[in-house]
Amino acid sequence: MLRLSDIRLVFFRELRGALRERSIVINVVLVPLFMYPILLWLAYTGLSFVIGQTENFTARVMIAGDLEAGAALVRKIEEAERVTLTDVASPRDAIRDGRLDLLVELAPRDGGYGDDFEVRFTGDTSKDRSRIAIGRVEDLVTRHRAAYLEAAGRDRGLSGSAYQMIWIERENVSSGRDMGRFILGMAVPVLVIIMVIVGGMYPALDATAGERERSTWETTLTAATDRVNVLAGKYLYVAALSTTAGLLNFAAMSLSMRTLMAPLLGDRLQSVAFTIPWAAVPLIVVVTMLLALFVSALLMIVASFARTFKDAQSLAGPFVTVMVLVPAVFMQFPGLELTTWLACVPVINVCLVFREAIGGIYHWPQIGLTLLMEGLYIWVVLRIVAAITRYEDIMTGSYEGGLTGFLKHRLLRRTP
Amino acid sequence: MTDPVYVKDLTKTYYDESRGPVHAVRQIDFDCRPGEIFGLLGANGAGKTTTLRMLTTILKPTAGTAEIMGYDVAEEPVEVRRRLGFYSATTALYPRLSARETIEFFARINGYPASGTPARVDELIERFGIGDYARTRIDKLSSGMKQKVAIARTVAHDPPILVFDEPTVGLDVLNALEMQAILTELKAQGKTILFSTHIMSEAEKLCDRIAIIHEGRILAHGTLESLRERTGAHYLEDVFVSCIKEVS
Repeated sequence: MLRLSDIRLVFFRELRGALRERSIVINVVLVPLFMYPILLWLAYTGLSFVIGQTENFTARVMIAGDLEAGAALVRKIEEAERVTLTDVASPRDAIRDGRLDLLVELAPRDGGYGDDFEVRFTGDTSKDRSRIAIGRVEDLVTRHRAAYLEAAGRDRGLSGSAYQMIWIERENVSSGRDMGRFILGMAVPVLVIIMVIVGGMYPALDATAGERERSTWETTLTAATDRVNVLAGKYLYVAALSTTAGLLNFAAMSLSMRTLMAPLLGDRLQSVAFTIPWAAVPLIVVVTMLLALFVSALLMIVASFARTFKDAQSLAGPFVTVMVLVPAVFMQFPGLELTTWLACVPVINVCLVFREAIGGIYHWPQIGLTLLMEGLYIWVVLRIVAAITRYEDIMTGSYEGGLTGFLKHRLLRRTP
Repeated sequence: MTDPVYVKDLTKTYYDESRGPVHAVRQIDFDCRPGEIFGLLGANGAGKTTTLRMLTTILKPTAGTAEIMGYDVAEEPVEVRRRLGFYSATTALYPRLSARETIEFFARINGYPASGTPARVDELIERFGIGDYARTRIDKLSSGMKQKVAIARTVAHDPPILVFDEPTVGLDVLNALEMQAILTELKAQGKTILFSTHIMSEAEKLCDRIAIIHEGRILAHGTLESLRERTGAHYLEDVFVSCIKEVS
């Protein structure tokens, strides 16, 4: 029978112990608060340095063919900044080897107006340098052609605007706040979900396999309370720390995003506002808690088959990797929306609710379905916990097999 | 009035993936009377620990019954645990809690009234001489200090029955003697003590009645005198060997 006072006693006993354990404090408090923001800052600074290096390099270009045909264009390429002309024996091989970035071949074109010529670019688009070199020279060619057209039009008494036909105007309706929310929505949900999983992992393993390793599990089993209270206290403790890790990371990331993005955005930073709508916060807290409850139950099941903390780490490793990788991959797609189907996929649904809430978008039917499905998944996992803990050797820690063997021999075959 | 501990046909069979069913305890009967020290004497693997783990509700009996203060161990495990304290080498203390926090936790979770808990904790700290390190984390204590805290947590809720599973295993002579003194003192307070050991001298010195357990069966039980009479041997060691020879 559930007894709240006993659950509370177990919960606070676990919590008190956890707050005195350095590895748990590091993983639940310090890592989400500081490590991810610092790591991201380092990554973005490094990225902006690499981008700067790439953008400022001097492209090595070789011009071949009939140079007389496009003498004016050749002069422009020669005079262009961050382009240097070079001559190699076998240009295609040189491009493949990375010794040359671009080959520009000029040839007279038959059937034109006399001074027409063809420009052929040969590059290697699998290389950044070559791609950028093509872009730079293509830009020079386009501008050269525009200047030629304008001059030709002028000779025939036409102003430049007379032969434009299409005028392109651009307007960006997204405000600096929208841009900020977009950036936050791309980065924060995945990191928070990773933190919920990582933050729950240490307490889950410690409260199960760790207890066995320290021989305190049997001590706990002698407590005069229903075992369901002991399990509930431990489960809520793991879920609480997992939620704490996630929410601390959310707060840290939201508050530091401006600083983190500074190296990458440069001057554009002033026009971007990193704010999260207050109305989104309750929803974010709720989905984080639900995810923590789901993940904690799964982690505790996995860890309950381990005899030592190390065993549990090995067992939980692949599981945590999948749980982290799947949302990380899915969330790379900025256009991914919370559809009815995706609202049924655990973890991904929470990620999407999180992202949309940050952006101030609320698809309430799908959000409702997400909450319902997460609740259902938690219920299913807890039913599995109940089925597993009915086995005495699992409960006392004397079971010698693994999770797969247990599922095969016990749960599916119903061996006593 | 029923006996504090009553055991009838108690049986435990494990299911082992490779060996199949393993009969650890086979239809044992015994009872403990109020205020006595009852010893379960047997070699390693005889079934002592399994028996005590069933009585303390850690394991569920496969068959038979066992009652603690009238409560069935299988049907009312929480009521049973409320009425007993279990001490064993396998029941370690939480390393990150202090001695005081440990005693307080077990007093509360085992049903000691909240209002009386601080006074009870102080009393136990005083009684077991834990005061100097009451606020020190368990993992910083010596084994002797831990032993005292472990006994204090066993009796924290003031249960009428105490179960000690090989309490002197791994202790040095002085600590073993102190443990024996504590058991005697608890008996003097009127506690019923069920105690397992494979050390004959210990059983001889402490127990009012003894049950000799071998391969999951109780071969004989009674006072040391009655066992001597039955086997014609004087020393408990000889009594023990004689009982085993009878069945083999």
